[in-house]
Amino acid sequence: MALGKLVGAHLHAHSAFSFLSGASTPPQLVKEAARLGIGALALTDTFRLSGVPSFLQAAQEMGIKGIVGAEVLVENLGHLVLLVPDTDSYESLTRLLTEALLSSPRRQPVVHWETLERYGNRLVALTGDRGGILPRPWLQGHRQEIPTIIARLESIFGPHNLFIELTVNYLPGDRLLFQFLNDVAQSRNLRLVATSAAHYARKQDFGLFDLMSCIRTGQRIEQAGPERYLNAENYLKPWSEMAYALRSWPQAVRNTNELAERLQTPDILHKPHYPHFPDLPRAELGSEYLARLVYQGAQSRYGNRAAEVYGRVRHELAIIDEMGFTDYFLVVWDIARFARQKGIRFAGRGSAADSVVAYCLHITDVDAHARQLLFERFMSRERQETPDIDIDFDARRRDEVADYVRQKYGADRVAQVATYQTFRTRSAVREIGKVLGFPYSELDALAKSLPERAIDDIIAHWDEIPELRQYPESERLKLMLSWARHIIGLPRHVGTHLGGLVLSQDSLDVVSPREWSEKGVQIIQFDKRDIELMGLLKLDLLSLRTFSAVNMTLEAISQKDPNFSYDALPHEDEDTYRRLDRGEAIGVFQLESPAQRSLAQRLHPDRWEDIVASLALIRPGPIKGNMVDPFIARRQGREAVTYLHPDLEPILSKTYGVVLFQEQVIAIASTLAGFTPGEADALRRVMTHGRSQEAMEALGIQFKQKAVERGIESHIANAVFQQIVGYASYGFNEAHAAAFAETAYRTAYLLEHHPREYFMGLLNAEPLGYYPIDVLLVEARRRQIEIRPIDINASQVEVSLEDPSVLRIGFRFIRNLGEELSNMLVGQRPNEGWQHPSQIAETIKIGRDQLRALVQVGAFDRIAPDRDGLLRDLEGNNRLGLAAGQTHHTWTMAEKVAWDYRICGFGQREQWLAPWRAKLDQDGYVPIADLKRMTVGNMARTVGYLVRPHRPPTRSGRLVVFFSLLDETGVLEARLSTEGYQKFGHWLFGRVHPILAVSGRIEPQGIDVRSIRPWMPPSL
Amino acid sequence: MKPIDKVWAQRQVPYAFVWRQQYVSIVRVLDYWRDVGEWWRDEPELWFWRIQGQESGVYELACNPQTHQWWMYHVYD
Repeated sequence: MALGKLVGAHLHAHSAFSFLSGASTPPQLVKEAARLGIGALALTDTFRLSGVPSFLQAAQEMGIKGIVGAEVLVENLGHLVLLVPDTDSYESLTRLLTEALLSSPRRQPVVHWETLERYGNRLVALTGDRGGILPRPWLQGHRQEIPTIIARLESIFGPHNLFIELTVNYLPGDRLLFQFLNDVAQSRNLRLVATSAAHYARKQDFGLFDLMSCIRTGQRIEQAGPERYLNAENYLKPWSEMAYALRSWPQAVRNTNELAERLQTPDILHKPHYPHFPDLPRAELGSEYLARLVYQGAQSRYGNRAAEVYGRVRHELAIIDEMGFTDYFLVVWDIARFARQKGIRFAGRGSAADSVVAYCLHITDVDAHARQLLFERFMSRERQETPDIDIDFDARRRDEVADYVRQKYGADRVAQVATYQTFRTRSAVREIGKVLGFPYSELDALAKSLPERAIDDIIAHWDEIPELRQYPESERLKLMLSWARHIIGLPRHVGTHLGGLVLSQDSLDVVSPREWSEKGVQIIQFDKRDIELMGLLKLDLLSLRTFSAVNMTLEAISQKDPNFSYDALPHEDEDTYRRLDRGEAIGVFQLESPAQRSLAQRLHPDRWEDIVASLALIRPGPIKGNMVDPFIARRQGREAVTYLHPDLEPILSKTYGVVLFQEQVIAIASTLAGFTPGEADALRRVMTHGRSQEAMEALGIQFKQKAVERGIESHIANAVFQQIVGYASYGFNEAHAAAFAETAYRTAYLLEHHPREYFMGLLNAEPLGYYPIDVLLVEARRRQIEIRPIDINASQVEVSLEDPSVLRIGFRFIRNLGEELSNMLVGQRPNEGWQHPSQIAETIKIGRDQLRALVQVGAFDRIAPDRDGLLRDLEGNNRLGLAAGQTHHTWTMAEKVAWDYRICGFGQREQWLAPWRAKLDQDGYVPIADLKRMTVGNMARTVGYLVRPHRPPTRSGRLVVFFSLLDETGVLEARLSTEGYQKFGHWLFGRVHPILAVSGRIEPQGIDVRSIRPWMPPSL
Repeated sequence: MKPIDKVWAQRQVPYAFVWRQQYVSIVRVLDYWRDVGEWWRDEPELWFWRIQGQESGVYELACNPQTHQWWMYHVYD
């Protein structure tokens, strides 16, 4: 692309992907350049190409020549800006960055001269701003080094590709510096170029950039420092200003334009790099091999009914082959096979479960044929997107699978996908507040108090938010929030995507630099949104702790029942459904939240399909879209199941005429309006994502026209379309719901029939699920399972099974003890058991605080109940005789419980309120279990431990607070109205006392709260 | 910083000023920079010139480009 009518080029610009050294996104930079009429823009983030996909896309859209580059640090001498002159040279930059990043300590990358020599000869180099490779030694007085540096740079890049950079930043000393740089250029016959070393798009973005600089350097705003910028001149300047500022060096401006003409946008987007499956049998094509595996799989899945699915299998295979994803399926099949062989529990989830091929390959466990799921929801000819296959693995063993993939497909061809941790409201408030000098405790409380609303909205309604209006200095806080608002959404640092792995047929160096993640694995520099643009295929190998819990449960069950088969559980167990029906699903995968349990109490599930529907119903969309009540009414026969057209019955009968699943939207558009399945999925996606009025009307016209052509009456076509529009964006993926329902049902079965083993599995897989450990323990006790506390001679590392119906808490649950010490306490325990804390200290390396915690948590109670005495022993030989006058006291149960919470975070012997029950009874507070048996409509009061207060979206849009209360008898779900929130919200969010006295009106599923106040025990 | 009553400038570049009732003609701009100061306290951006006068004195002038106010920042004797 030539520069055309546009004038000037900014060849040194950092975006927010330079992490706290850039305040604008790549599209914001492009947009500003376009506004200024700049012809070419180079993105040169520090050691990073992460912004390149969105940058090139934006540049293409706005008609600007996008140039790819990066700034690097050479041997601690100074920065160098490297630019890619054409497509072929892109790889030189990615390889150079990879070598630098993988050979340097994390977060401190450096390019060595040898690396620069290896890859630099195909790149263009600019000498940087004041931190640059020539200005820095000049400013630091190391001028004798400069001739050597220049000679070395010249030998790598040659005079044609090495440019001396003048940065228009209006800093003191610029004149002398520019004169020096000009002299260098003239003496070596090199050319000058002009840049503004941009770190933000517009001058007014400087404040944000300066705050980011303070976050980066850990400074407060008032503190001066060399890393802070003196002025607001690192923005994209109009080209006329660049020319005026460099009027004494006009050749710099001219050369910049000439260089920009020469540099080409690398053609790197949408170039597929899909992986090859390496183990094809000789003389067999990939497509043939895949087909053979699928037909074999069909036999094992369907037996003598296999022929029924052949037609659909042929259809799916044709699309897979046509779109070039045959090898991808073979790779996924290979990974699933490995996991199965190694006994690693897994299950495919997401829209992949719409595929019969995936089912036959044993990648997913949802029978897409029997459920009549639409393959086109997963992939279609019309949808030019790469398919996403997501598989959940037992969290404890997921890394084994990833290691296998790396080993088999090549370490340089496999990497984790990056994820960018972006500033969110709370982190923005914490970091900006710190820079502005707010104390940590105040910021922490404020951050926790902020409702899930846009900051502008919070500022505008400050006085209506009870937990915020309590703060003094509200004007200062609002000012801080208004700054925090600007930083939200910008990337903070790079992380590792939980499960995303990319596989490439070639070395990934062709596509992306690689770097070390914090976990020590190699990651590419693109996140999941950008990898598709870069032509890579992602495979999501996710960790699911529920599978860890399940496997631990099954290991325990196998001790008493070796024939128990979790994978062959029937879907018709009445006791399991009855437990769900009673709302007693705490611990069940995806069905334990208050909303799910409340739904179950109204829906009365008694069949498999009820679970699939439940998973789709409790989502923000269906709740807002008022789908839940009509669905329940139809399911229970209180409302007639009707269809707008007879052709809809086969599609909607399983959901009682309600459009609940995305697949149904596609099927309706295909059946009634004759859309191809791919076209119908496109319609579904437009409805889901781009709900502009115009787009929707255009779709409606198209739908109605096509339906009428097929003989559907106009008013019916219209009504059907309205129904789709009403539900489409709320619809859930049926394949995903069905895949999750398998695990939901089975874990409910374990909870019902093997509670002791299952609670053990759940506790050992923590953190997982909706509720904290304390709630699980109360539930376990309610199921007559005895929980025994940590004991120095009886505990294992994890929670363990003791006698029938007894669980023993393990050492790992003591905060700050760690797994290694826990293992030593168990592994090095003498045959006669530990006798005294000092014996442990003599045997293993353990801190005094950790020993003290063992005493305080009661680990020695059985052998030495005098905790005070043990604690004194731990303080040494009492040389000063300070303890002589101390009296012994016996720890009360309330004290013991309080220490349990302090050290473990939960009540390992009793729930927090149990020791206070007599007092609570005396004061008229009803235990939660009794309260749930009271008549609906009565008023009652209770005291409980606050669990998960939240303000979810509601159908009416009004702000309603939901929270749970826990006592030793159970969990109560509480609802606080908008008016109640105004009065009592400050007791629920921010710096709160967790024990609350609540009164209110009994409701079928909980309590409608009328008053709240903190409850304090008389004394400890 | 002390205010300067009279400064002659073109495109905001000074070429003469009056200091202590003396007319100083600028013969050379030695350096030029910009400083945002304590922007979070709403301090304005200032532009600075280190210049040489016709009588060989070296001065640093500061200007608020928004209000066109001028100050003497430094005088090198």
